[in-house]
Amino acid sequence: MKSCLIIDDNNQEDEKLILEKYSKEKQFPITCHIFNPTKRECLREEKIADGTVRYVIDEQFVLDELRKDYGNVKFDLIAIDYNLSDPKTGLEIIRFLKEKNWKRKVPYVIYSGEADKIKEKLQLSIQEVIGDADKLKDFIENYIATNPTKIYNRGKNEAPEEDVNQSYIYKLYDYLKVTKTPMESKLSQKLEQRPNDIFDNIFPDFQGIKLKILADLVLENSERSDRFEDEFIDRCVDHFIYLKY
Amino acid sequence: MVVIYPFDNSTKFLNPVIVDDVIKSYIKDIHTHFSDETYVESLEIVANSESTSTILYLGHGSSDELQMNINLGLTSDYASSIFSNKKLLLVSCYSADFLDALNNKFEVGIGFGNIIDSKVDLGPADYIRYNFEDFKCIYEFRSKFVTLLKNSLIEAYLNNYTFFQLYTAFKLRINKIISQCSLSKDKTTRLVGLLMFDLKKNMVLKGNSKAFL
Repeated sequence: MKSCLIIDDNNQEDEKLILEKYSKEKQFPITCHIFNPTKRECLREEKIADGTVRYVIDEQFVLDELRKDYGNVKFDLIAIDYNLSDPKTGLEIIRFLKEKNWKRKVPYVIYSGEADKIKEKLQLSIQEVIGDADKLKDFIENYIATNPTKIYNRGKNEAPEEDVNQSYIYKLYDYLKVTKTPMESKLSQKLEQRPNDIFDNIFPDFQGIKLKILADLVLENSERSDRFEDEFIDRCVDHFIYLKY
Repeated sequence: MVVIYPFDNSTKFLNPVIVDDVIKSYIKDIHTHFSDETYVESLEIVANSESTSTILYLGHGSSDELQMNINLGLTSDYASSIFSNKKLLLVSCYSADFLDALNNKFEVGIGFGNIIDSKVDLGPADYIRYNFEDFKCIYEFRSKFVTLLKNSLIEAYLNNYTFFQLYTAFKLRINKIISQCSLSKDKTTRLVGLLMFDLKKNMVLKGNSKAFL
C-alpha cells in the first residue's frame, strides 16, 4: 500500500480523509499521515527588535519530531505547504530535511494557494541567473538540489473532480498512481525501521554494520552500494524459490 | 557428457556426482585413471568426442593446469587444443583462471576459484579462520558442495538447460545454503556459509552462455 505524508500548518484532517476514501474507492488505497511543523515541539523562541518574543519553526526540532513520529513509516511521497505561518517556507524545511538525509530519496511535491505565483517567481529567478555563471551555480545548488517534483495549487475540497480548482489531494492521488516507488527507497526505509540493529549475515564486507548506515548506503550510487544491493537481491530472490532437487 | 575424473583418495568425495542414475544416463564416456602411458591416449578420446559434448572435469587443478595424476598436469596450452569448441564444466581449484588461460578456445565454460575441500587448500589467513573443531566446516562444506553440484546437474539435464541456466542453478543452491547457515549460531555452520560465499564469489561463466548442456 502506498503512503504519503502531508506537512502543513493548517489542519488537513479533511484532506486526509478525502484522499484515503477516494483512493480506496479507486481500489488503489493510500495511507495518509499529517504533520504540523508549527506544533509546539517544533518551535523555538526568538527575540525580535522591540524586545518581544515570537515563536518560529526550528528545522532541527522538526526533524527530531519527524524522526520520532515517522521514523518507522515508509513514504512514497511527501507533500508540503509552501506558505507556512512562519518566515520559513516549506521549500526551506524540505531542503533542511534532505540535507540531513531524512527520507532523502522520497519524492516531494509543493502545494500552495499561490502556486501560480511561486511558478512565476521561479521563472523570474531563472531569467535572472541565466548569463551569470556564479548566480546560476548558486541557483542550481540552492534550488535544483532540492527541486520539488511538482508544484500544485491547493484548490478546494468541494470543487468537482474534473475542475481545475480541485483540491491538491487529487493531484497527490494521480502522482502516486502513476509513479512507482524505487526499490532502493523502499529498502532504505525498511532498514531505517531498526536503525541501531546490526547486520548479521554471511556477507563479510557488511557484517556487523548498523542498519542505519546500510539505509544510507543503498541510496548512494557507488560500487559498494551496488555490491550490497546485488547480493541482497540475489540472496532474497533465491530464498523464495522452490527447489525440486 | 564426457567425464574426466582422475580418481584417488583426495577426489573420491566427488564420486556421488557421477553415480547418480539421472546423471549417469547422460554420460557418454568416463576417464578415471590416467597413467603416464595412457594419459595422451585418453585425452585424444576426449579431443575426438563430438564437438557438442560437454566435458565435466572433476579433480585437482591450478590456474595453469588440470592434474591428471600425481606427476602429470594438463597444461593450458595443450588443453586449448583438446578443448577447442568444447563446453566445459571444470570442477577444480582455480579453474576460473584456467579458463582465462585457454584464451577463449572453447565454446563455453564454468570455472571456480579456490574450492577448499581439504586443509591443504588453506592459505595462512584461512587456516586460522577455518581452524575450528578440527576443520569440520571444510568436510561439511564439501559434502554440501557435491550435493548441490549433483542436484544442479540433474535439474539442468532434465530441463534441457543452457550453461547460463546451469550457472544460476548452482548459484541458487549456494544462496539457499548461505541463507540456512546465516540463521545458525553454530560456528561451524557459519563457516560453511562463509566457504559457500567464497565459492559463489569466485565462480565464473565464460563464453557462449546460451549453449546447451
